[in-house]
Amino acid sequence: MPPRVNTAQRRLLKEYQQLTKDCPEGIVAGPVSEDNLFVWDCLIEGPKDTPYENGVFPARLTFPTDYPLSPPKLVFTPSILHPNIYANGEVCISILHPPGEDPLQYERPEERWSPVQNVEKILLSVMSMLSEPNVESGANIDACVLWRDNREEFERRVRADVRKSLGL
Amino acid sequence: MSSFVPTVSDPSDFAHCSEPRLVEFDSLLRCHICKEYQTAPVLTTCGHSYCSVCIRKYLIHTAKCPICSKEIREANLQRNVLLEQVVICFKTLRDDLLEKLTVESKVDDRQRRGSCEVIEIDDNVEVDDELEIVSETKKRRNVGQGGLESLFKRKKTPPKVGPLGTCPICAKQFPIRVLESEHIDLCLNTPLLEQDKDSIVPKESEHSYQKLTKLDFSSLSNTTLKQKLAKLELPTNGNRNQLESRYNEYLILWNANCDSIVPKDPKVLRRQLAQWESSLKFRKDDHDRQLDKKGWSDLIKQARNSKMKTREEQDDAQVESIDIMSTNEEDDSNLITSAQPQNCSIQASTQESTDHERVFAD
Ligand SMILES: [Zn+2]
Ligand SMILES: [Zn+2]
Ligand SMILES: [Zn+2]
Repeated sequence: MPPRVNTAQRRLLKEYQQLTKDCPEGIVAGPVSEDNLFVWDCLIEGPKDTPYENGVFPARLTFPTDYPLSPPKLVFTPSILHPNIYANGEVCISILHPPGEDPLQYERPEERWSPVQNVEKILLSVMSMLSEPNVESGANIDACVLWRDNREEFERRVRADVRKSLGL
Repeated sequence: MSSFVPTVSDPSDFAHCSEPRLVEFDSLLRCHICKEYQTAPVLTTCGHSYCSVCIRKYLIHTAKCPICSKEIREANLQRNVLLEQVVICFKTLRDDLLEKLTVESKVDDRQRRGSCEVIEIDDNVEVDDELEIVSETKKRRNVGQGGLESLFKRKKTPPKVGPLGTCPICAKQFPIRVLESEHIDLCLNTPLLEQDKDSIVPKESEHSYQKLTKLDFSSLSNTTLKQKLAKLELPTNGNRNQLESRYNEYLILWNANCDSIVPKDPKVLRRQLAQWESSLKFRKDDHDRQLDKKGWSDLIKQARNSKMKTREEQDDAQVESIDIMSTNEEDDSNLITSAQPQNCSIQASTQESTDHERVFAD
């Protein structure tokens, strides 16, 4: 007897299957365990030519039961210093917000969450977020200010996060 | 994970067959919401198509098309009969198609000229809609020459057919030579019903299921609501919220089913409803589990490989990247520990339940 799975689980299974076949470079993601497809662990490599370069950052994706109708939540564990990442590690980018919900008013709807999006697109957005912070709609005000006014110190602290991510 | 991942069908199943362009065709037949083949597909006013049940559920949240973001309304959804027939047809052929196209590249041309098998899904088997299994219960029958095989052969060596003509009886096209010498005679002598018997695709049938209407719960007493549920042969236990959610979920399942040319028996819908309710209860229990060590170490291996690729591109490898990607076991365990949850309050906040969950989680 095959396991009974609901729509959300079936879709998550599919996405996982696809990612194992063809995963974008610098990204690893998969369910924490066979028993719970709703929580995934991810490893995200810091993009080249950014202060995050050489870092490998663990993050956790938590999916709602009505996925993909609602978006998952992405939290870096531990948090890293970035204008669009809250101090608790939670990532705040438009693809993780449904069109109705509007903390970042002016964004185009096609950048928003819809069931057409998927884990791969989220993680690619996170990579580009690491390359290009969006300080106009920042989540971490301290990080925004530091990034804007004292880039050197910002980068020094990010490199400290990188070393931490490597267990150094 | 490997124990059950391979049982889910996916467009990429065609990636390594002799016609990899079928990957695209396969994915076109799927719903953008659930990634399955479209079930009872409906068209939106903007021309996009989804499973009726998927888009109906989505529209409760957001009155916009998931693909193009245009405003759409549930009341304007239209059945997409042709697509449903195409999907049923393709699903029926899929396994054989895959098998043939995978074997084809290895087998001698002569061997391919034999008879051609087509899968027929047994109508009497209730296909469990909750899980699409690649190897469905099926019986096989011989179709003789022609069929798919000829289709694919035609692609490689276009046959010399001469001018085509249309049969006045069945309206299909045939080479005029064939039409005059044999087909028209044959066609005239075959009763109409007989001609349809071999069709894989069910005809658009008249069924008697009527759509249910939304209820205005504020004007309904508990007793009336229970009567409505009982009339639909649904359970009447639970509190008011549970009764309302149950009705709303069933409304969607039912109305979506009405959009299909092959509607399921209400018994099947009631089973789906029960599964939906129990899945809401389950979710509460399975909080964080331990990492599946095997699965995770495979992932780490992949990460390392992709990192290796990057490193081949960069000529001078940096000290830090060597450290993390060395094959030393300790590094793996470092990664794993750092990937574990670190912050309890975050964990708690990510376990927020949706309204539906809360309703049934007692
Ligand atoms: Zn669907
Ligand atoms: Zn659309
Ligand atoms: Zn004819």
